Amino acid sequence: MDRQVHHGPAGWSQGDGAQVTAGRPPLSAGMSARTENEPANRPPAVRCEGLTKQYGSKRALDGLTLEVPQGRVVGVLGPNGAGKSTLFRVLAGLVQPDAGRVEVAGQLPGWRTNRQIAYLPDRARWYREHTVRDAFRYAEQFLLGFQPEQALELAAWMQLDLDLRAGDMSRGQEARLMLILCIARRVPVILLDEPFAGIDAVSRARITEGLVARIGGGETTVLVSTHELAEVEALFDHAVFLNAGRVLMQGPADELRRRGGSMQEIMQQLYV
Amino acid sequence: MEESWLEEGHVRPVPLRALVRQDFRLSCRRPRLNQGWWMLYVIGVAVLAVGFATYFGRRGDFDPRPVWFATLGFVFAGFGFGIGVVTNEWKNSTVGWWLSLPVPRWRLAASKWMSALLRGWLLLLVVCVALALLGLYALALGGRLNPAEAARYLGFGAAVGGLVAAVLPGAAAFGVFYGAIAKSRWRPAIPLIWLAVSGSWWLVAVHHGSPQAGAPAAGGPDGFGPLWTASTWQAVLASWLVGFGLVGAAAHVLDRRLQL
Amino acid sequence: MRDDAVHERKVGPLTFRLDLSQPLYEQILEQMRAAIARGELPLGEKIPSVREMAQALRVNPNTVSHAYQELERDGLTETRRGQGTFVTAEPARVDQFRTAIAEQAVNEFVDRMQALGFGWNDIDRLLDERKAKGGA
Repeated sequence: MDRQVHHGPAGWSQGDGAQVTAGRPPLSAGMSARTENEPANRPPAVRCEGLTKQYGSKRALDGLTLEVPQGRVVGVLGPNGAGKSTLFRVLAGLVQPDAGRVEVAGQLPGWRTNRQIAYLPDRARWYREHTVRDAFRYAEQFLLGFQPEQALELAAWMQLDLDLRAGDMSRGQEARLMLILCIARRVPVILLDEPFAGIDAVSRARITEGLVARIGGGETTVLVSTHELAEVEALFDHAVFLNAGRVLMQGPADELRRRGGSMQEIMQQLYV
Repeated sequence: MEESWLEEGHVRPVPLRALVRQDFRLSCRRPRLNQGWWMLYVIGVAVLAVGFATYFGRRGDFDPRPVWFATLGFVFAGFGFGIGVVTNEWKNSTVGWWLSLPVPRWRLAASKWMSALLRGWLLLLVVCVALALLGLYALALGGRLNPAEAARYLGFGAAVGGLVAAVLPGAAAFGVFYGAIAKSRWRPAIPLIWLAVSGSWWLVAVHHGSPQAGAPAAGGPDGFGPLWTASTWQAVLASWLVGFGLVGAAAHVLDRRLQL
Repeated sequence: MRDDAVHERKVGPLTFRLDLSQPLYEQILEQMRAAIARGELPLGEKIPSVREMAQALRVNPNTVSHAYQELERDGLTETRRGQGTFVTAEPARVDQFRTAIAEQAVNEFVDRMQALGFGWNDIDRLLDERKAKGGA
């Protein structure tokens, strides 16, 4: 099927109409992270330099270097074991790197910086005796910048019954609850580690919509790690591809699309 | 528009009280039995206890005071509660939420310790009240319910129960520390901890006479020696100090020694 | 070509087709321009806010906002403080834009033809043949 067909009657063909994938330049590493309207004086939301973390004989992070500008929605992509979760745990201050430097919002990660970070842990569950309402009360007490009205709005919109106990929820409902707890916060950095893992398509769509409702506008930097890209990848305006604890490639999403196609296609090319 | 959420004014500390309430709720989670089974167990235990009390009460010639030694089990329960309230975060996959709370680690550890302790004390109180009622009931059945007998029975209960309550802080702290170690890179050191514990127990026993065996065996006019001697006070005080240190050590483990 | 990379989304009277293997910003911009040029979005009509559009398309709001800024630079839309963004009320603006795009398309067409060695006569003949075939 020819690509132009997809642009449909509403779309104009781009460029000279000879849109062949083969004409793209080869993928390259170390693409510039900055784009034109990037204020230079703001510190990056996340800065890692030579991060290394070893678990026994396995290197989870192997000299990872990364800089994420503020206000971006960043897809942290890569296969299982690429180091995504370890990176997030380091950023959330749960894990101390063996070597290297790391800064979140200009500070060393730790419990103090967690005031400014909303972190959705990998494979997390919620406290099962909590109802949605209880969870919101918990968040009000413990999670700084949590906005109850916004959480209630999101819950209504994502069709989450406020009196439902986490223990009685489906995985999808629980995932929605945990996402709300993170995105209903007014914080400069949101870290979502695999928010879509093991979730039905309906919940995935709801979560995507919930995310769109909260992201953008340059206030909050969102890092989302995922290996399920369908639907979600349109949310990213920046992508980082990891492999074996290192950054394989990164850059603005549209730039990457122009060079290598969709994130999914790039994944397939990178990790064969 | 550019109202900053980074300013210190926005940052209010998380109160320890709220943390303890959350942890307490977590630690008191009942096993997932349905309401009917739960009632059945409660009624079963109550019937059994009243049955025993009735049997011994009617025999009439016994000393009910040793039943108070049942509360010694709470020392171990306190240890268990301490372990459980920490390791439950892992078991329930909530550990990521817990550890990313914007709270100093010592406060996380102290809250776990307090909730385990609170749970131990509450259950101890319930059991002590039940034992008091049962004992008095048994005395009444044997026709010996006079102020002197009742005071002797309850006084002994207060001494034993008070000792257990006084030792619980240390036991719960040891549990919290043990739970944290079990989830840390120091996990292989656990046998070492047991060696140290049994070693120091042995040392104490050699120097002061075993507090465990001493109490029921040593003869006094009543058959029981006084429980609260100077060395008891010393031991309790020492257990508090050690417990304090263990909670601090648990905080350190949570901060940088976890296996995540 | 992967079909699963293409998503069709309805936003009010408009239908967008987004191909995830192409830059999204350009696709949104082009399809909005086309909708205005063809009158699918009438003059003076209010267009959805950045967030509404982003939610309907399920794309990053920054991307939509970027495209909206470009539309405004084109003169096709204008933002009224506190009211939102509207398609320009002046037909001349849209005409001007259409003409400019048309001229660009003609230039590209002629350039290609000439690169292939066709002269004006050949081009006329080809266009006449195309016209005779009919269609839009």
